[in-house]
Amino acid sequence: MRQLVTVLRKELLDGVRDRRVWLVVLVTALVSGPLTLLLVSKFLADLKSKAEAREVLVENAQAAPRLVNFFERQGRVVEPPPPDVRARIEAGRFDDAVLVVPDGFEDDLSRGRLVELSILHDSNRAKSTTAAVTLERLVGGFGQELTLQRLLVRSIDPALIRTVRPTLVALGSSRGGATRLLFLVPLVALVSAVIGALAIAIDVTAGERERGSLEPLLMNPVNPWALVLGKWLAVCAASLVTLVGTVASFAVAGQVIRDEGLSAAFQFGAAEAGYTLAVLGPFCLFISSVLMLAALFARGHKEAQATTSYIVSLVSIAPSLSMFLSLQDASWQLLVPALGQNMVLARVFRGSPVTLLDVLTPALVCLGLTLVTLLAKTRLVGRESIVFAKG
Amino acid sequence: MIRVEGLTKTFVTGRGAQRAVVQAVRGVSFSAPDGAITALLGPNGAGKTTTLRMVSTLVKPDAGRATVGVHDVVASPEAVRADLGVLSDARGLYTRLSGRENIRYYGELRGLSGKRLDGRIDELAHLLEFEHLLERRTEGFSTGEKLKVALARALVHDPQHVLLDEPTNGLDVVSARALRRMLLRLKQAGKCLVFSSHVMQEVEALCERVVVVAKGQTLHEGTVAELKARTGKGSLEDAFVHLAFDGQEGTP
Repeated sequence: MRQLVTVLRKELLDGVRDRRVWLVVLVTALVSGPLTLLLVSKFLADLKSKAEAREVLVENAQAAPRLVNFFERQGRVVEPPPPDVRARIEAGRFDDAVLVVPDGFEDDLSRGRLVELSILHDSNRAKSTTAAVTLERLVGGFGQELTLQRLLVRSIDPALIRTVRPTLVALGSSRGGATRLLFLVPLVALVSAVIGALAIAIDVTAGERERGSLEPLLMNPVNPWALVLGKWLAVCAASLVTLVGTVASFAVAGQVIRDEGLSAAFQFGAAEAGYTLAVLGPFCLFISSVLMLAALFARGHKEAQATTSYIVSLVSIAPSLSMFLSLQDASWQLLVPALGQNMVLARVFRGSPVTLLDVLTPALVCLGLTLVTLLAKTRLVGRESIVFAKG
Repeated sequence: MIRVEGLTKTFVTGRGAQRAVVQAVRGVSFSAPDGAITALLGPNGAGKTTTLRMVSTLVKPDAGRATVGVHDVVASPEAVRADLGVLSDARGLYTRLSGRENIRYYGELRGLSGKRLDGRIDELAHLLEFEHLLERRTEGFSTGEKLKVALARALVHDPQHVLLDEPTNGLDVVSARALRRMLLRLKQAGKCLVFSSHVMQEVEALCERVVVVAKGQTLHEGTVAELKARTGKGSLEDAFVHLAFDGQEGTP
């Protein structure tokens, strides 16, 4: 126990004096959360403003006075598009959409012919697509008004053509849209736990060997468990500090960023912060041990960075995987570190019921795997192939 | 007393087509008594470092036996480490820690603490003449300064047995003299010292006993005078070259 405390105290002191460790912890914890929130809120605000924009771009608007009149009655202002609009769309430099009116629009309309209207937009740009959808809805409204007029002229009850009426009823979450953006928290917090542990995990393993201090260290009568646990606890401390900082910065940013859309979609208070820490805490212990084990086989910092980068990538894509593969809430995810934590937090934030077993399962999996990796390290740390890096 | 009897060690290097079996040590034997400095002499690749690593329990021998005091290096590695101070080939320091913190870390790992430990650190810094560096972070230390801290770290628990792997490599004259004085002091205190070296003058000035190792084997064990008499050479260097290189320099 005394040796464990000695190793832990030395590694903490060494870590605290390492500017790289602090820089990573500070930048990751304090900047990543608020920065992500700011960027997302700006993105949402842009989309909203595009959807609510008063100006609509119509090419050849003079050929469609009735359509222009309808748009104006909807409170829109019809503007001509820039002359090089097609070139700009093709070059990916246009964030709006353009309605193209053919020359014989009014004549075709009067004769009851179907009029084809094109909406030019860039499907790769979210703002342009949003503007195109808005235009499509406006044109649809115009068409509906015209149809009603035609039916009334022929003394036909418009109710005859109404067969079904869809209504959107949201049941997915008991907390409504208040948590729409909370998925960002596990996404960023999981990665921050890894990044916070990374520099110190490499320094206490591959770094120790690279600087030539592992060999003399092992010539001391040190218990392998004391050595491994002391180093591991120091790495855990860095990971947990980064996690707490990240969660705190999310909570503070959620309060400070006075954006209407953001505060409506990101209600992250003390309860949510507590849940996040409770669910991700065991993950910090696990990832610290895994990073150390991976770096133990590396001959130096560079090799360790290359090896551990696979782990960083896996953790980064885990939440996205569940999103893109539509994994929903499959129970097996609870058994996979990172996926399990992400799933539990997603359920908590959605307001879906979460059982004690749901919270305990990923925690116990992490703790079990931590024990296995720690045991592996105690067996490996004194091996000639590890001490003298024979590969 | 350190006894080494017929130690052998084979390493496998590389993988696949690059795989090679290297027999680093193929029967090294010697004994190093207390109160004496025993030199391990040998050309590069002779197996000196591997032998010292086996004695210090970091490398397990394939065959043979080594004891440090009454403890066998394979059967009781913990007891051997407790009674051994080693200045190995790798002598890296923690550059963000001061000289004192580096030494204290090892002292605490060996169960020392408080005023006793601080007193021992001050004593070693005085003997090795680096008191002025004790509170400075070791980043940027010269080779000699690093060596002094590393040696103090190895001696902090006042071990009975001391192994030093080419300790004067890269040292300036002043640091080498301070180191020699320290070794003589340890000898006078009755410690058992084994050190490997290339520097013949140093060996002649310090060591009572010489063990010549080449191609992983012991070629001679005895006093410097016995070595000279055996080879019929007037200087230790000539005697060493004659024995280790079969009289032909550069081809051991």
